[in-house]
Amino acid sequence: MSVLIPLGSDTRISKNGDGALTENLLEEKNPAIDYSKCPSQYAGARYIMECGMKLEANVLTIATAATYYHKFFQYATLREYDPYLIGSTCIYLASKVEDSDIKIRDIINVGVNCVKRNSLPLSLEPYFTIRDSVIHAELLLMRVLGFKLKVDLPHKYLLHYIQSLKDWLGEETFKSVPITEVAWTVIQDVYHTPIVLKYSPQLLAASILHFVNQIYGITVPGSDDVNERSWFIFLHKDCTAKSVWEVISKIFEVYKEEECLETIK
Amino acid sequence: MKERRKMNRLGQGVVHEVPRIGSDGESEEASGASDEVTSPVNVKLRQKNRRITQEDINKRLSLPADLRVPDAFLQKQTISSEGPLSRSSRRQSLSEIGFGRMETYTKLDKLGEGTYATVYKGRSRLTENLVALKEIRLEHEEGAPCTAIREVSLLKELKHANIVTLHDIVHTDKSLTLVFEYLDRDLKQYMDECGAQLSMNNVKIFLFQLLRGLAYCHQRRVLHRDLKPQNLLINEKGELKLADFGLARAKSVPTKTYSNEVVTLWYRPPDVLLGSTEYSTQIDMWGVGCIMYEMISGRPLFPGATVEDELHLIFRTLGTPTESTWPGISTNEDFAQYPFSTYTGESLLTKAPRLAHDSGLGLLSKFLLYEAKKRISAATALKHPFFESLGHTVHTLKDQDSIFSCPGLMLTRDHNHKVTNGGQAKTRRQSMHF
Repeated sequence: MSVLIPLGSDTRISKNGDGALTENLLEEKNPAIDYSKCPSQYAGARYIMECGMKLEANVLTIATAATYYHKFFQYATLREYDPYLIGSTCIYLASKVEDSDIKIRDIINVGVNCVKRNSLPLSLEPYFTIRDSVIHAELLLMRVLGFKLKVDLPHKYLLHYIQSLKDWLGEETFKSVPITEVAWTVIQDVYHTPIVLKYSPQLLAASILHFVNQIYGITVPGSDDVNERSWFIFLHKDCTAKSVWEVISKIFEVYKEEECLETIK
Repeated sequence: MKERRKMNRLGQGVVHEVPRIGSDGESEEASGASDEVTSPVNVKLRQKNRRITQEDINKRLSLPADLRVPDAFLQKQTISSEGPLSRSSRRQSLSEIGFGRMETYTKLDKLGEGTYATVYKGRSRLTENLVALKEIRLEHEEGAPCTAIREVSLLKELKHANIVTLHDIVHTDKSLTLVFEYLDRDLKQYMDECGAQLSMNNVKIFLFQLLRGLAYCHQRRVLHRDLKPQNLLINEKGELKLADFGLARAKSVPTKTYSNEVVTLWYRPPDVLLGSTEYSTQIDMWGVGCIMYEMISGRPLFPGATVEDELHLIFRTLGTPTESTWPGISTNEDFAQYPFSTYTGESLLTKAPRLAHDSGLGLLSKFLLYEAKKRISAATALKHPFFESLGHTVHTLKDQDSIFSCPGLMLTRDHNHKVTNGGQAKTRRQSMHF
């Protein structure tokens, strides 16, 4: 559908033949994060996305994992639980729920390599210790989540709304800017912060799409922002002008907060 | 979470086994480990306290009316104001009553052993009711099994009269126990006990309930994927409930491929047998047809031992598929591999004459279509004339209402009345022709 482009991406991204990002650009846009410095809730979420991409996990699995992760830290503190252990556990549980079946060994190896870049693979003993921790944390995580493991994600709504928008804008306008690609990028980026828990999936999807329209200065014909009859109010009852703008301001914060990450120099 | 405590729940000296994180209990919302759980409670008395009754508690905690709250717990309760309970205080109250604790349940006999769980009959000390305890072994290698995780997460969302109720989840270091309502037997045992055939009235009542539960699942994009008489539980009243959602999963995006090995062979649709990995709610409908036939005739429809044998039985009965009955079949690689003869099919009426009544055959043939997308949906099947004799009220039931809340609807006695039962069935069928 679209490549998974992490934070800070823009639309000038070039793709090679099979649609993957070129290595250089990826590195330039996403310098390696030093997770060992300043572990924060944000860094842990970024860790989930980096591991998820390296594990070639489904977008929905990563979003589900990030949702678990933010829910967990609504109740627990970073002082008590290591965000990266919880992050790996979230990926593991999400992969079981979303039927993607990622091997626990891969999750651990990829995770360790993100935190300690270029380190050798773990020897057996530390590996088994981490594995036991993940399995223990999985039980804890399920209880914290109250065994409600199915997450209603905004992704499917976004795809629907993009379809509607395409009809409203007309083929030509729609094709003139990469709406779909950028919206798909933003929807993955918003999982860096707990705003995904605060708003309904419909509202998130509509706000992301309106945000992208704003970036490219696209106006939907017939939309009347002054009189609060914006195009998105027809999508879902949650999508009011006020709420959409509130979410958009939160999306800005997601990108601002990225500065807290320390990169490897 | 930060709202003021409205209820003095904690007496002195309540010891929590797992103070940080309570079990899930029956809470509707995801609730979590909260520091508040053990923090001292500041009680703000708003009005004169009064003793509260068991009914108050059951109402406040949305517990079933038949739940007997321990006296010790009751005595500790005082109520200072009405109004909703905060999530964490409700959770803690539940834990204090005994939800989420193994000592609340007494294990009785072992009922069976599945691939990932052992099922015991048990009794809840809270209600004195029987429960089914599904004890899931936690493996050290992989953690909680996928099937268990899927079953739990799905059942949390499915609340329907024809779907087995998950009462509680008990979590210890070594195992995860799902506490279900207890039902006496499954449809297979029920049919075995009948010896010959079920009365047509009962066939309709069971089939209708099966379709009701399934329509509810399908509406929520949940497939069962493993329908068989052993997974349909029946209680003494005749209420039928879908169980064993281990193989079911929420179907989110239809483009996904699913694993090939899911449905027990006898009830497995031919498209899945021939390697189709992309299926939708219609994969459950073939199995419904097989179960309908089995209830009416008393014999399984396609008791195949292997995939080839299963396909052979299907083709011999329904006719070998052609491009007109199954578009695309001639290019199916799996199909080409098997040396099937060209059968024209047999009459299902000869095999089960009772299908002639109330257009039963018409309904059955809509389940047993080769082309998956043409199969009748559960919601449409409920409106089929076959169910006309059940009356009109069955269509106005709310999700959680039992079919037996409809006036005049009753199960016919199937057991130990083989001779008279036949007579009864005959009279009833005749009367329905009027």
